[in-house]
Amino acid sequence: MREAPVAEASRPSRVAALGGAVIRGLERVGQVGLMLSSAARWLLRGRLELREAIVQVNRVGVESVPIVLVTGGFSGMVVAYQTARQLAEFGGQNFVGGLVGLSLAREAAPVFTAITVAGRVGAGIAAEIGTMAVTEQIDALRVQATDPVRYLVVPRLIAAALSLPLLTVFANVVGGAGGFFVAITSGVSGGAFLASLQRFVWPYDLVVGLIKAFFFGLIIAAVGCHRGLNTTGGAEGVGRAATGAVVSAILLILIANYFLDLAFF
Amino acid sequence: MVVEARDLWKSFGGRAALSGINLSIREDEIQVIMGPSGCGKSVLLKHLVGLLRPDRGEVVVFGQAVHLLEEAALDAIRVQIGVVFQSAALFDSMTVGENVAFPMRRHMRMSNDSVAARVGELLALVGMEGTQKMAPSALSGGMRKRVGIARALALSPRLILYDEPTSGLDPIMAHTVDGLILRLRREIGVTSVVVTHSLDSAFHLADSLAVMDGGRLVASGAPQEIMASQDPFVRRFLDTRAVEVRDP
Repeated sequence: MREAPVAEASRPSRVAALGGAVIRGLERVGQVGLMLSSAARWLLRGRLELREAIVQVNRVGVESVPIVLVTGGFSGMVVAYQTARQLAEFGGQNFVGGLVGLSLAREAAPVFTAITVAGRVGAGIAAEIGTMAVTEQIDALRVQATDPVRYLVVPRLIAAALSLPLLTVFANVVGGAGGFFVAITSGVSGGAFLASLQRFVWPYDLVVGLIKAFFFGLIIAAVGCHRGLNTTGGAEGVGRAATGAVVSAILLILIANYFLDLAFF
Repeated sequence: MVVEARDLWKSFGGRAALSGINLSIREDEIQVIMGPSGCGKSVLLKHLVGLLRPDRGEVVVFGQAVHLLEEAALDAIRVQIGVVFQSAALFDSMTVGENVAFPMRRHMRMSNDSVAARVGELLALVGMEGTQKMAPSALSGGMRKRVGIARALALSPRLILYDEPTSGLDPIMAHTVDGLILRLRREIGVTSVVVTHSLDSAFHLADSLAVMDGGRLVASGAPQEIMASQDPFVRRFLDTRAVEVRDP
């Protein structure tokens, strides 16, 4: 007997696949927007989960201090090492302090701190909330008349938005100290380093760095919470949510960093 | 009627989960919804408490159109409903005591001593006294289910929804949980909706039984009526209960 022809499964064209990806991306942006507007409503009403917020400040901020000190310190050291070597060729060693300070205040401290925290905390937020989603704990919150955005998202947004600038301050201080140490061991005088630092780094640079860190904190918490709340598919889904949260947060931090630089400098 | 579902339709990604469900639940009765896994029982339950919204149809609970309410208005209804989840859904960042106290701390103005006393009372009711300080992860499946029941009772609900309360439990623990559901109805007089695929539990508990298949309600009525039903699916479903024991 002649077999009936088997219809070949139609593959979506590249254009269709690209269109699908764009639509999914826009959907996600819309979902994050709705989540943030709901969080803003709770904040404006002053209905805060203070206890949860304190717990999260500890998790996001306090527990991140050691790793941020290490990344901040080594960032300052490597910038000082490279600039001292390069500037020595042109006799510009007196500018090392300024370059280290500016690099740290404007870019290295806020961006490296944010990327470090995105890896440590963003994944944690997505995994924790994702586990709650796949084990019906989010549904349990809702049926107990507790909005997950109010109870889970707002405290994490507050904690990350407050902690990131403070962690960036630590990164600036430790990075500056590390840079100073490396600079003087590379032949730059301590006095020249500090004088250059004072001359080139303005309070505005430091403040803008902290403002950037504030936005990066919001990005880390918002992406982690959104990925977590939309987790499906058991343990595998939780893993995907955690990885996706880190990747998305880092991408968004780097993109936001560019536009914030355009806005402020 | 405490609950009325009228012509309820719901689909996920083009696949129908509910197809025109009509169901009425009277006060103080135990309504059992049974059917095979994936027939839409849990989806129906989630509609009753506003966790899902229907594509078409109405859900009326305590006289309020749940499917039309905003989340804030839904919360006023939800505090009158206790839900026992299939997985118990205890918050694993909290102890057993904190889990049971959670609804009281959020919705009632009670002193710490009163909350602790009520938590002790509820845990004793489900046979879990003295477990306040334990982590949910340290409990067996049956124990978690019973703590889930204690938490669902915390706000003295008028209606309790049980999603597969005995699935995954050994027969003795399943019987204990069934006994608890009956005792709660007898002692507290609460309306209950029990979703299950266990025939033993269904006939043990039900004042009224509904049988679902593929998102449709294929039969409903008193347990005796279901037992006598000639619907082919109901017969096939009920026949799985008959176990032939041969002499050696």
